[in-house]
Amino acid sequence: MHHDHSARPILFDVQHVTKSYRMGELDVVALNDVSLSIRQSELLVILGASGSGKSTLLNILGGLDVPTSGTVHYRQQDLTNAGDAELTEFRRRSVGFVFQFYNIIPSLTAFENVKLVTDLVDAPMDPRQALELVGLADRMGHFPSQMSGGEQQRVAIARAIAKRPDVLLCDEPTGALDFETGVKVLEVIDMVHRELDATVALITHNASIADMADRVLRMRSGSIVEEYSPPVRKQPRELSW
Amino acid sequence: MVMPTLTIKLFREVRHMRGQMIAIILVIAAGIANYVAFQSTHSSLVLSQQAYYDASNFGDVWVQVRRAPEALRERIASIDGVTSVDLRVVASVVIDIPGLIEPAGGIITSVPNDAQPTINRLSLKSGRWIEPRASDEVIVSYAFATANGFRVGDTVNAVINGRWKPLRIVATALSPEWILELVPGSMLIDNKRFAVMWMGHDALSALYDMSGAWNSASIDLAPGSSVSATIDRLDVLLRPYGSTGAIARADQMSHKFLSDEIRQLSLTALIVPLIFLGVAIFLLNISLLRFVTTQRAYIAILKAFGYSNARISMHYVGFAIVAVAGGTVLGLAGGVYIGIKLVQMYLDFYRLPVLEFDMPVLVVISAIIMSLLAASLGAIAAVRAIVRLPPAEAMRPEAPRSYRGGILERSGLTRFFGPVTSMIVRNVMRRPLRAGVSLMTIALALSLLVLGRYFMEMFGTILDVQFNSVAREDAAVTFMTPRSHVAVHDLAALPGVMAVEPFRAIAVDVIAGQMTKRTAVTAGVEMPDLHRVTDMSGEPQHIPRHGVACSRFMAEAMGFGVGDTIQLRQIDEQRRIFTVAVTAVIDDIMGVQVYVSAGLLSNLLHEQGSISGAFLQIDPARMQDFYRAIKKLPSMSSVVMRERAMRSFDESYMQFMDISNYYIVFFASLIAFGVVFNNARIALSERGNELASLRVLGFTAREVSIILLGEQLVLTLAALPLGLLWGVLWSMWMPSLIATDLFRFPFAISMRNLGISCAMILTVAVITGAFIRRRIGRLDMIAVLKSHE
Repeated sequence: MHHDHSARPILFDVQHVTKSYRMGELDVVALNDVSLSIRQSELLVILGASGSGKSTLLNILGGLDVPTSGTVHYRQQDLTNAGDAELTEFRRRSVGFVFQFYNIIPSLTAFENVKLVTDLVDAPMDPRQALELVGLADRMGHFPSQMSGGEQQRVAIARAIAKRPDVLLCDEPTGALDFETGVKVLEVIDMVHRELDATVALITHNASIADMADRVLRMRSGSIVEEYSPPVRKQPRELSW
Repeated sequence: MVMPTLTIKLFREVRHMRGQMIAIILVIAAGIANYVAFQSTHSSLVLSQQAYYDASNFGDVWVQVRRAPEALRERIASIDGVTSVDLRVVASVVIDIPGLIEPAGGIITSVPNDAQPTINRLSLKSGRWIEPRASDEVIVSYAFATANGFRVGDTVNAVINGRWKPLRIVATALSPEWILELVPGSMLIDNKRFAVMWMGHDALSALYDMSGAWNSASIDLAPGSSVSATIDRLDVLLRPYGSTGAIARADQMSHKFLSDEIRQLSLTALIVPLIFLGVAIFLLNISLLRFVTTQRAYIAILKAFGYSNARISMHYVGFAIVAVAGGTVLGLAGGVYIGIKLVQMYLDFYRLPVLEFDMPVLVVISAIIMSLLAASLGAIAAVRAIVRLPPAEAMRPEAPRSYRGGILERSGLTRFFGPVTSMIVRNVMRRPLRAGVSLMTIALALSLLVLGRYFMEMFGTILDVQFNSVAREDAAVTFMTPRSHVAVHDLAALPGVMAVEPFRAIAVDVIAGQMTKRTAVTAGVEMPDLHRVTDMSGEPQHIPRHGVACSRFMAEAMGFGVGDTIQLRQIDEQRRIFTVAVTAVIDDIMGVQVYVSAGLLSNLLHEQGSISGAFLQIDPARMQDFYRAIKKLPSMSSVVMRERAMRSFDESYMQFMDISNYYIVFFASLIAFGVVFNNARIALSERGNELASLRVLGFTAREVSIILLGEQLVLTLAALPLGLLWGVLWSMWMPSLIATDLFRFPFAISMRNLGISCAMILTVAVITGAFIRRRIGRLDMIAVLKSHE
């Protein structure tokens, strides 16, 4: 089953973006003249090794970071020169994040971690519904320390989707998980993509995951070196690594 | 209404970090409690004093004469501003207290036969007013009755005008003129041997042949009228009757002492607690700043979700609110409790019948607002620092610190250190700001301990200087009127007397420019051995042969110095004025004294070796004989025994001061504990991951503990000299702030103070270390591998 997304409107338009920053005493060029566009409802996988600049790209897309040069537009909105308040509003309204290390708050239960985000928006999903969607209906009252890594990541996904974001940004969502758990998490992401019709950008170093994408970008040393659409879009269960 | 999830996070994390929270709360509670306790004590005393003065109609002006007719009442009453006049007979009496070998004396004042006086009304604690026609009924002071176990109905034997007379106690009372029952001519309180009594006017005038006459007046003035103008008019009017000069309320001994105490308290109640509160607030600020910094990653996540900076800041201000609220509740409760205790103690010392406990609400609210502001600013500063970073960057661990080879490596010293020692030294040296802040907070806590102990020891120093360097005599005898030098031989002939040092003293007003100060000019023997003039450290001071020596405090307050001339106006009927040169200034404990050589004073007074009294050395084995002999001498107005004076000083003033200083030390200790504990605890959260990583690498829990605790120990040790220095500076600053006319406070820091203060800090550090050591044993190694932070 392969969707053709070329007719859909462009959600993100990234032109000639460069990002460099100081890490301790080093100047690191994380992105070097990157241009791309992401269309609505597509599932984009960005592949690359550690240090290829893919996380930086994702952070810029999500309004967590701003480029050193170049432009980034989300629909009609210019994110390049957006101030802190504007970026905050953008993240709150439009973006759901899933991080490699879950980043859920240890002092809050699964339910509360989701609610922390739904508190922010006007018409969120019920946190229970979000947790049911990721298969954690029976874990709502558990604290992060009482859950496995896969469960914690699913809480993070529930948290990301509960505010009904337009775009779901996933940074190595399976990076810290074993194969079985990883597949489960990918199934949840795939399900969210299909059922909520969300745009998903997922970055990973795991080439096998690319097979579930509508479109794949490969990055190396801060540049996009390859772009293709997998001939056959696989279900997460069909993947192996 | 459902609690916002951030609020849930707040409460859960507060509960989780309760150790640290308790430490912060203790610090702020100690700051506030100290402030509240001393401020409310001060305010309560002021209010109680005022309420008592109002209720008893305390006089405005006093005057003593040798003898004046009743008829003068009209003339006095017609002076501008005078609203009422109370004419009385006041007499010194010798009394005999059963079972007491030493001589005892007292002051007896007449009161109207059938009613309270209009001015200086008594407050009866027990019994009834005098029967109008009774000739043997007295009211005695409550303090005197209590000290001797006298009750209403008991009898005291007194020598009145040379005749033994049994006096029946019909009441015990408090008087606004005797809030502090100081033995006249001394600064001692001796309720056992000094009686304050009141007797019906007719009965007392009859005993003293003063019918139709008086020798003491108390006067009330209309509000706003000039006290000094009234005094001038009174002095002119009463000089023919032997007036020694009227005095204003400000010079009334009991009032002066109480007011000095209140004034001194107003400064200690403000300055010491402000130092404490300031330090507590600073520590609170630092604690919140450091705590919020450890939440870097969570702040970044909240930001990534779209929480605004303001919402995030408010969340962390919540921690400040919890800390300050906890500290306030605890501090207020503790402060009020201690305040009430202190006020009660003051009331044991100062005989005030009304206790108005007052907590100055505005002052307390300001303390709370200051604390809250400081805590919030600490939290917000930390949040700001973090939200300034793009969230992506804040979510990443901080970039590795630049650990370039420093002085340490270049010096080659690292060769001698193991990796653990190198890590400790590098950590301290490469995070100079963090290390500096820790060091400074510990030093501040230590400085408070030193300051607290300074107060504790200061009174011991005064006692030591006063009784071991200055007043080394066994007894000080004062005559009612000056006697010729022959009296020295009479005294020397008393049983047990081994040495006699006569002195001459006259009451004067010191006049320098526009300023006047009432005090005494004292002349002793040329080379005194028993009673000496010393500076505050107890070093004997030479009294110049020419000119006068003055207390430095008075000289500075009145703006004169060595080389200047001042005038001394004798307080007697003639009011002679002597112009003298100031040839020395002495740093003595008593603040307002004039010392002069015996020769110069004789010349000024045109006398040949008259004496006012003498200091005696007495054979301890013959003390009882001495007492018996001296009891029979009518011409002595007072005998002050050194042992008794020391005990009186110790029992009343010292013990009382000890308790309030004990609280200061207690608060200082609480703050020290809070600071050291919090420092170590925050260091553990800041460094938890790093230390867990070391555990993963194979370091033992013990080695890891040494790294963290070693760093804390290095900081604590480094803080000691700084803390001691600050403590000494605080303490040096205090004496100038709390000096009064009656007393000056020496600056004296003992090695014992410094030693104990350091030992306390180190003890707290060790206890904290043991706690941290346990926590290190429980560090979660797995979590650190999973987490990217």
